[in-house]
Amino acid sequence: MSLAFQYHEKKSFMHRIDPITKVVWMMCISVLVFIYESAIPQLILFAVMLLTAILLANLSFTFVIRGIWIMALFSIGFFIIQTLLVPGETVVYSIGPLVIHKESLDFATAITFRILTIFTSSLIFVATSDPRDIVISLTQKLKIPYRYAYSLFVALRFVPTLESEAKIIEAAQKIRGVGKQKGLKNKIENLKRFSLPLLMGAIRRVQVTANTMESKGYGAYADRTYIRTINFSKQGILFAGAWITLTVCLVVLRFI
Amino acid sequence: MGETVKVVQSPKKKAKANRFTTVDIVLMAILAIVNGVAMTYLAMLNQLLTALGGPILTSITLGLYSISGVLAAYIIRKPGAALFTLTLAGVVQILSGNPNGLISITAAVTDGLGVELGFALFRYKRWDWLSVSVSGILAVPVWFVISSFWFGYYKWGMSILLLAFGVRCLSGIVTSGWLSKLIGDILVKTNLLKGFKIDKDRKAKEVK
Amino acid sequence: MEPIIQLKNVSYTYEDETEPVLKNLSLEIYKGEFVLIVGPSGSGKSTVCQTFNGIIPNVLEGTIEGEIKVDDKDVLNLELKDLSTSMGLVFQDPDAQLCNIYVEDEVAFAPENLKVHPDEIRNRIVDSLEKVGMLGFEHRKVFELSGGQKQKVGIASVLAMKPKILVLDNATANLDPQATKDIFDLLKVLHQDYGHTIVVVENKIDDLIHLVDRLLVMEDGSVISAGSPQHVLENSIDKLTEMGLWVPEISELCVRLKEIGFNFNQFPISVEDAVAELKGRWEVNKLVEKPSYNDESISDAITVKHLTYHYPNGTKALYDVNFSIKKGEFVAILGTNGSGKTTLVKHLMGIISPPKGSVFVNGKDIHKRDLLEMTDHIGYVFQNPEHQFVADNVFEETIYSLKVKNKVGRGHELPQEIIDEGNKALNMINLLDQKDKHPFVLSGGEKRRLSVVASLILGQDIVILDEPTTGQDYASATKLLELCHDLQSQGKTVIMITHDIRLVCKWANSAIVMNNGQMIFNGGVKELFVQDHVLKKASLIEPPISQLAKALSNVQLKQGIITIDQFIQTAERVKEAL
Repeated sequence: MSLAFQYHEKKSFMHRIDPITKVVWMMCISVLVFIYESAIPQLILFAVMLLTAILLANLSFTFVIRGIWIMALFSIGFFIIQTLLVPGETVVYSIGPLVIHKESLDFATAITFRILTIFTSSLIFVATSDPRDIVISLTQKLKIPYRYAYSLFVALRFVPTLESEAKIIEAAQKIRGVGKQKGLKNKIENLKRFSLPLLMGAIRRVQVTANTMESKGYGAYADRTYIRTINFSKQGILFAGAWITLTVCLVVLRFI
Repeated sequence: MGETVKVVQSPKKKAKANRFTTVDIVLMAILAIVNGVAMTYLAMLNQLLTALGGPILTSITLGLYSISGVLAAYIIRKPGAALFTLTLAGVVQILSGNPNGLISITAAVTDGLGVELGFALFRYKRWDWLSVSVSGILAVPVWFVISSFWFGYYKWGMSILLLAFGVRCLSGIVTSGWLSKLIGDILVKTNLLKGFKIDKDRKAKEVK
Repeated sequence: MEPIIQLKNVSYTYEDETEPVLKNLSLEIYKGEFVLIVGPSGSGKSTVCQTFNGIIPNVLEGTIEGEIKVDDKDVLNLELKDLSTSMGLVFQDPDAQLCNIYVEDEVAFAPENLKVHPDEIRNRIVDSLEKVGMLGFEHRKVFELSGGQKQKVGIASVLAMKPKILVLDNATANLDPQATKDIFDLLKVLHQDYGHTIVVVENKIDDLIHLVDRLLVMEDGSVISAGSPQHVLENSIDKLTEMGLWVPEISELCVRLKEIGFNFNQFPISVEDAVAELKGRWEVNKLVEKPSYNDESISDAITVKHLTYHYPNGTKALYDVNFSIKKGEFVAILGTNGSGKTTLVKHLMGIISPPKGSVFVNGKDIHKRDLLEMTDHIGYVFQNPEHQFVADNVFEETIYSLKVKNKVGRGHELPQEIIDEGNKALNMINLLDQKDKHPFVLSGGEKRRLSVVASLILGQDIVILDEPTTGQDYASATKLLELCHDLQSQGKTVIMITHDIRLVCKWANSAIVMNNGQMIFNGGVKELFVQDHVLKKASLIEPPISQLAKALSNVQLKQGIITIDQFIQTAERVKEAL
């Protein structure tokens, strides 16, 4: 899996909303999945996410599935472990020493979908938010000094460069015979062999990159101008408002 | 015309010794991603451990998630380096469509705060096996508590929880703390870290 | 005229170091000049460039003495931001100096930081991109561009600060010859049409020297010679060669001609100059031609038959490639980036598994042979030696593959044979006294030579090298080629992907030229340079000496004249004929 950012340039309701509003929305989702520990509400929330992805974010069903399938695989394992380890009372099924309880099944389902829901909401955020807008929101709206916020650009910029370098190192070392030796100790040794050149290549660039940035006036003033600006839209405020209201109501209902 | 001699290290600069320079920021950005890139290529080790099984064995490599933070702190030696690096790593992870959204940011931040606390205990003055071990361990507890609620581990029973916690602490010491020190020491020997605090400290030591 | 850059008695010592990098250095660069700075590595060229815009001493700390004035500003008492409108600096590594994701943001980066109004920035983006010929790339991602395009964006991004002076520190070292030429053409435009003062630090100056007003030579922290390129080259070419620098081939030739009694009105530095001086005084038509390399009795090291390959995404990478390489040959593989060179050699090595019956190594089909098994037959040297390093010290690095092959694990005692092999190999490249060092701390040239012997430690008789001389000065490139020549005289087959035409002419026997996945030439190097259509198709830049020989020849040459020695020999033949 690559570390490259997954922004999908498209047009949709979610694309038009600014990143901060979307983060508020994600926080609402996080609170909601946290307050329920039974299957039904978690399943409903997951369904809402899927619909949001397809209808509001203009993402295809296959894109969502491709985005979450690794997580889904992980969830299956997680689901089984949870079902077996969590204690319960009502027996649903038993094979030999293995007993499956209704309560554990319900809990496991809830927790598993909790993960999938969070993951899908994050996927929607990532696919509909231009990294540039994220950085600009941080500086223009949240008043984080741009010197620090900009580090995100630097990081994202170098991901593809490092990834292609990693590929080359892997091939280059294979030719030297790395990988011929077996055993855990050699595996760990190989880990070091691989990581060091990658790290050194990257660090060698650090000084040059920093010098260029400084000679281009980076950090010369406390603030700067921008050719892009971020505005909160009416739609976005309504969207966030609706979700906050819903969340507050449900939390109140849950704990009364 | 008289000859001007300028020794460049103005008092103004000294006063701001703990502020991050541009080089620091770029280094932290790089460290924040290099770990993630390496991990995707070194999935084999993780696969092995996952295959061998269970929630406890996967805890063994957990320290690797906070290694970039400890390493950044160990090289830059200024307050906030670990927290900054790990938070950034978390954000990059999210944007790559990787793990659990806000959750992974929470994990990154709690790890970062733990590491910071560790070095703060030594007032950012001790950079040895002990301080990296303490920082490696302190990355573990907060996230452990949050994650046990989040993933529902808390229902597993005390003995399993304690065992998992123990393994994670050990992993924190070895794969995060010690490994960072090892890597940092190799890097400084190759002269790549000229200008960073780690290199200045080394040279000061040699003079003594 | 007032100098726009003026350094007076500048000395600079990096923090934590005792030896100064710049020693009492003085230089002047005038408004509107095009100045080239050359000097061996470590002579302080890059350091000087960084004093111009205040990176030294503002960012890189140390002790500095003297006086630096740029654009009437006192650099030592100003901050970087005050200097950024005076000069822009472009570095060597295109990847390191672009820190934004999109081209547009990269160009906007500097003016944004300098608080220029957004409307003005929009104008500057268009202006700067237009100047470098990258208009229309605004929304492309920086990391998807080619090396040459990245450097153009790098230039545009400093132009956006509206600097009077443009400084390029080795900015073409990582580019292929065509991209390099494009950058030089761009500099010409910026200098002549837009009036920028231009300062360039470069290693390979054949295609640049004719644009230059003045040449500065640096050695050991000071300027040892300065003047018009004709003057400096005529008088100190030996000194430059001695320092390990690339000098223009034409000038090298003309110095030799002077030695045998030629006088020039103006000392030639370009092909045009030399043609003007030599026309009518030198005739190239009496060369006795002998076939360059063709001995049927020697068997093939590598045979490729009807090799076709598509990338996984369906794009055609290789189409019906056929050739054979004889044992003990030195073959250069040429072509632009993306022509299929690397894909081709990956097939020879089995990194990409070739189809049945298409690639034979030492007579055996390598279809489905394991890569690890192939390493017993072929040594493959990657472009960046660091990528291939696997051990903690130079000696272990050398013998690593031997240890793997003989299954000598950790803790086992090393057999004497292996120790001997390692010592022998290190002795060959004069690194025996550095055997305990970490490979990463060696110099660039040493790293490359180490990676060659380490890749061949199993006694493989074929070696493939991927652009081994990129970015190196003449001295270390020559050392590497001498090493390859030694290997060839030991009977090994050397296959080299390269852009260094001058080295090819001097050292290789034959060449394979790739273009768009097809092989468009396979034969002797001398024959290659008389086939103009091949040169044109593959954007190969002909060595100056060959261009000169053609211009001075009345007849159609059957073989190119590609080295200075050959050129001089044509004269001796003239004499003999007389």
